[in-house]
Amino acid sequence: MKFYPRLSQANEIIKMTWHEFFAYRVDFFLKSIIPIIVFFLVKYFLWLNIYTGNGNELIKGMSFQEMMQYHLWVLATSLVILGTNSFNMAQDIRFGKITPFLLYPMPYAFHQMAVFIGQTIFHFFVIFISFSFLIGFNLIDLPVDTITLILSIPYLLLCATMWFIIQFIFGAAAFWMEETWVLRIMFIIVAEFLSGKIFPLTFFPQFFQNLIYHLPFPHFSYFPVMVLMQKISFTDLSNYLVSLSWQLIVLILIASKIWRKGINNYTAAGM
Amino acid sequence: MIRTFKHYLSVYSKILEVSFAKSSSFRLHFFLVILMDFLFYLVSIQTIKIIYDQVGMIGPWDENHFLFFTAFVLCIDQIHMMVLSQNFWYFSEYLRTGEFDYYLLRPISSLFMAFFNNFNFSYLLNAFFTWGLLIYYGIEIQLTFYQWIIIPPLFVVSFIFQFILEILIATSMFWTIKGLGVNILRLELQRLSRWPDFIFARYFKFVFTFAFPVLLIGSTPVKIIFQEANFSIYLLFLLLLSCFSALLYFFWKKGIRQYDSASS
Repeated sequence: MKFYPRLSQANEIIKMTWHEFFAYRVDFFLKSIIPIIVFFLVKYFLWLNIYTGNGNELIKGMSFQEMMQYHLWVLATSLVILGTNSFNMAQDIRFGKITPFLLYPMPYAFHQMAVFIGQTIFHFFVIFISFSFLIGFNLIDLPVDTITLILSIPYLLLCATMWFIIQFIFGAAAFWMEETWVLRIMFIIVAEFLSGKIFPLTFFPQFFQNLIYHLPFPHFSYFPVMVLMQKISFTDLSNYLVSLSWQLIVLILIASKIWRKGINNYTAAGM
Repeated sequence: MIRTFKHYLSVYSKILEVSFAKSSSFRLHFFLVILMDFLFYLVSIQTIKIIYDQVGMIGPWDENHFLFFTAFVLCIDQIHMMVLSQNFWYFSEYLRTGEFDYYLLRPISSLFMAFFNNFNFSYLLNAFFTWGLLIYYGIEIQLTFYQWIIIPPLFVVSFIFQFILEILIATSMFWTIKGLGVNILRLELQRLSRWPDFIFARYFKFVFTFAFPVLLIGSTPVKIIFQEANFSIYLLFLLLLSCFSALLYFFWKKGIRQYDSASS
């Protein structure tokens, strides 16, 4: 019964999120498009130099073309999974901006989640349009299997949810800490390195790979990309889903406990 | 001239005192910032090492030459984070809220106040790590006495160059409503400057060497140190530095005229 009003609330928040994107177009361009261009420029020229300079056909079993496809998928999955909306959460807590949410019939976490979904859908369309254009004009070589793409959407959404919850936990640290951005940046530095965003995880020594595969990090880049590149079996995918699900349950429990503890500390004037 | 310099020095010493008091008030944050940067340096170095585990050379450089270059850009980054970085984030906020008015009223350069008003002491300790890396890889590649001697002046010029380019980008905030996008652009250009110019194709190299010379920040001084470039490139470096200083002066004046207090 309560589901439909929630859905319409979420719909309104998503629309507001999009409205904000379109209202600050220059800011959106600089924030979202420039990092994509720089990321791709550096990756393309660096790997081109590495492959051609050393006369290597394959590095760790990957050709130059496969390496580029890998990085294009990293780019796409990063935009869909690694949302940034909870970055303002600490400020909301410190300046008492969450007070209205304690009175509204809408939890703060729900509002944040709806903004996150709005961002994710918007980025999905940015990726879809820009990749269609690049593939259509033969500027990039990216084989896309429609069935794999559709089947991978639930997995990508679970990965995005995990990222959101981790960011939410860092945001909630503002109940106790003056500045929380440093925790978030530390996590992003480690996550970029261990998620396969910089290079495929197969570049790490085998024992280290085995260790990382049990952590949440590969779900932010490497595993989703491997799914999209059809480089993993159905068994592997179901294993990833199982491991992701229990990690997600643990994280949701931690997040809700931290939030409840934090709210007890909270004063309406902020922290 | 000397009196003006002394005046600015006395103002900066007060800024340092206040910044130190601020830094020591939030001790946990102070240590977390050190840890954060340490992680960043570690990841930067490890990334290069892991790539070199697969290949012998990238461009003309072997692993130790590349790591020396990375250490050089990390040293610039460390000083930048300590002296300037925070100010760019505050600058956009001051423009938006109208707090920049107070900088315009003070009997001191508004540019100086905007970009030297905060000094982050947390990054001071990281200097041991970044300079330690530079010295370590300098010894590994067996730099000569002459090469060691030219590092400090080249470092200073590189730092000033980055400083001027970034403020030039930041002046665009006078014309935008939000400053976040401009700050992201600044960080992305920093990311570009952390790679040597030889990895880029000729046209990109040209654009980022002459039109918007971010590649000069790290590549040119290191190539001079490695004696891969002759000293005439150093003159070009200084010439571009003068040109961009003039541009900065022009746009800063124009920006201030554009500034309309809180509604800017």
